[in-house]
Amino acid sequence: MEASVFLQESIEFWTFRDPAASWVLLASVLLGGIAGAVGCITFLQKRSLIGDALAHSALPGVTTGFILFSSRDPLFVYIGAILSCLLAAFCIVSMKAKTKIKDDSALAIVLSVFFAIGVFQLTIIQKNPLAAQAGIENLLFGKAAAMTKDDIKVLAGVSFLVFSFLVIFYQKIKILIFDSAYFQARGLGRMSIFGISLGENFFQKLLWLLIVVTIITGLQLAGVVLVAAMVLTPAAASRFWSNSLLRMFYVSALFGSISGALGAYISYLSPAMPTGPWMVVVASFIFFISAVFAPRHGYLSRILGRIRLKTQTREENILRTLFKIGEEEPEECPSIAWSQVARIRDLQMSRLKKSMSELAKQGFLFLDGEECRLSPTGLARAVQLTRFHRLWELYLTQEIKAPADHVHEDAEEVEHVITSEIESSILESLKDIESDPHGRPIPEKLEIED
Amino acid sequence: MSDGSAVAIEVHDLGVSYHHKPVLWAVDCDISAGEITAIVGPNGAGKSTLLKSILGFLPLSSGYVKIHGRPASEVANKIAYVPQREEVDWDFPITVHEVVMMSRYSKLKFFQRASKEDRRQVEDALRTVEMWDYSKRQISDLSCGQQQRVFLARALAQQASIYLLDEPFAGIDIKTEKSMLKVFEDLAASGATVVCVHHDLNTVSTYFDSALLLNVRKIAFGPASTVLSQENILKAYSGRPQVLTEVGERLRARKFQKREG
Repeated sequence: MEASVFLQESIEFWTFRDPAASWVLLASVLLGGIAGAVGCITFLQKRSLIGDALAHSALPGVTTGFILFSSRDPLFVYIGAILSCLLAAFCIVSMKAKTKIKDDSALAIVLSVFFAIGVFQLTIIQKNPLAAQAGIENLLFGKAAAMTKDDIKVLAGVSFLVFSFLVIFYQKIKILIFDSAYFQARGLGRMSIFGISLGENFFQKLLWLLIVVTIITGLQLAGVVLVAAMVLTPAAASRFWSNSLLRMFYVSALFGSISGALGAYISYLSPAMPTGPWMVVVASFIFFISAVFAPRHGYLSRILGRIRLKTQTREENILRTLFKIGEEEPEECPSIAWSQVARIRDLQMSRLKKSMSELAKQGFLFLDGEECRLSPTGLARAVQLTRFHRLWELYLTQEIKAPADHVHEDAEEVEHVITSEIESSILESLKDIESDPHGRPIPEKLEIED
Repeated sequence: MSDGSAVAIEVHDLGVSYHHKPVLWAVDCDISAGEITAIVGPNGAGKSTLLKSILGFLPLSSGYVKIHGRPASEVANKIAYVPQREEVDWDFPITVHEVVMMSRYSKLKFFQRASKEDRRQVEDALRTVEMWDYSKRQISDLSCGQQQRVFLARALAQQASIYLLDEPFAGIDIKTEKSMLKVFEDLAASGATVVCVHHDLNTVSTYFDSALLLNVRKIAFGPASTVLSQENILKAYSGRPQVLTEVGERLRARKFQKREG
């Protein structure tokens, strides 16, 4: 595609000059949004595959509706699909409750049986010229361009309902997913309308209906096979960015909408490529980026954290080694050759150099050619580490009666994680803290003077 | 019953079945208000099941439970429940404050907006269990004992009169255990009823006023010190009566094809 054509088409698309394209854009954004938001629920309930099973189970409902009424009216499509999804949900739940079949098998069984019936009916229908015209087979992979104005009206209405539901019942949803036993104990599933009780677990049923409706709404756009991805992927991606359910809902809906918009855009640029699959590809890309680059929860940040921890451990070990060497000398904080530290800690010179200059920068060390000396703050830190190390050794020998030669390795690790709180509870349970199990003194904490 | 104080929870001829297999047989006990009561017994004795049937979760195959003379479903807001650790998703993206705020859920509030009173109750509860400094923390970042204390705070903030806790002392250190016990004692002193499923027989008589010793049926119920007699413990822990187990299996097999395992 030439650059000028590309630019022109892009401008056309994003300024909504092409009405047909704008409708598709609106539909994709809405669907991405509700699928993303609702997906958070199934994702956090660890039931992500439910979406897939329900989507496949919608097919026989649609095809049966078409066979019975020979109509592609969204109303019939909806009712047929909802009934068949609810039947599937009922089968899954009761299979789990009444037989020894586990969750995953129940999902797989229901999915394949319903889908098989749907595909079977589809092959019959396709011989019917009306069906080809109505584009029933589009339900398999979705075709945004084939959506009628009525379809989009329905989609807008459903989106409004779904968002209202999530806003009104946000707290209830949160309690139910986090702690369903508590939810039940408080009787939060009980609902009533005009004083008529709707049953003990009505809210849970309502939530099922919400998921079913969202999936069915996505069928025409993303198709039976791919709509589940729009429910799962944005939610999974948003978890990397969120520490609260509310934020997860927002972020997931946003990711879903972005996927929808970009899917529609790409498909507009090259009409041979359908919207639905591109939505899924974009969502998966967002997921990938999130999984790798998200702060705190992402893979990269975790690796960096691990490296930082390792570097810190190495630096602390150097401080402690300097202290230990100095302990045997009469002078306080003598100058010590680097090579001696490298030998004791079994460190490569290059690594040691880096850690040394880092420690000097932080003011823990004074460097002097190939020698180094602890600064007052460095000494205080080294004393603290040594104190933790020896206290821990002592604790292990006294409290769990470990032999003295078993405790050093453990203390090498633990010295880096002990806090002053843990220190005080160790002190509480120790009787004699003169020296460690190897007979070396346990140094007193040093106060640093400024 | 230990003395003449008011009955808070009346359990009468309670029977419960899972998949047509009875797991509790004809349990009777009257739990008094103002006391801390332990439910003890071996694994699989039906301790959690009893707690859940008091809450009204489970269909009963016989008997009834009354809370202050009424069915549990009518007084749900007066019962604070702390589920077993395993039933909760600890990876859930939620802060300590939010967890405790759950207790203030009310059907009458529009959009569940927290009132000043709600915030005060939540703060009080968190301070009582010494977790106020952690209110902004993610629940997944806490230690086991801290998580357990947050759950206790949630129960406290509900301002209930009945507290049902499933193994509140599981997996926590002795210091947390003591401080939680202190909270229970204060609750009981204020007239509330505290019932805990408990697994450590050694501490029953020091921690609890009354105890129910259970193994699919009631072994003994009464003051904690007398319930745990040598004879009763032997009876509870030397396995279930074979007849009960066998009849249970047959009841189940009649409804289902008998399967391996």
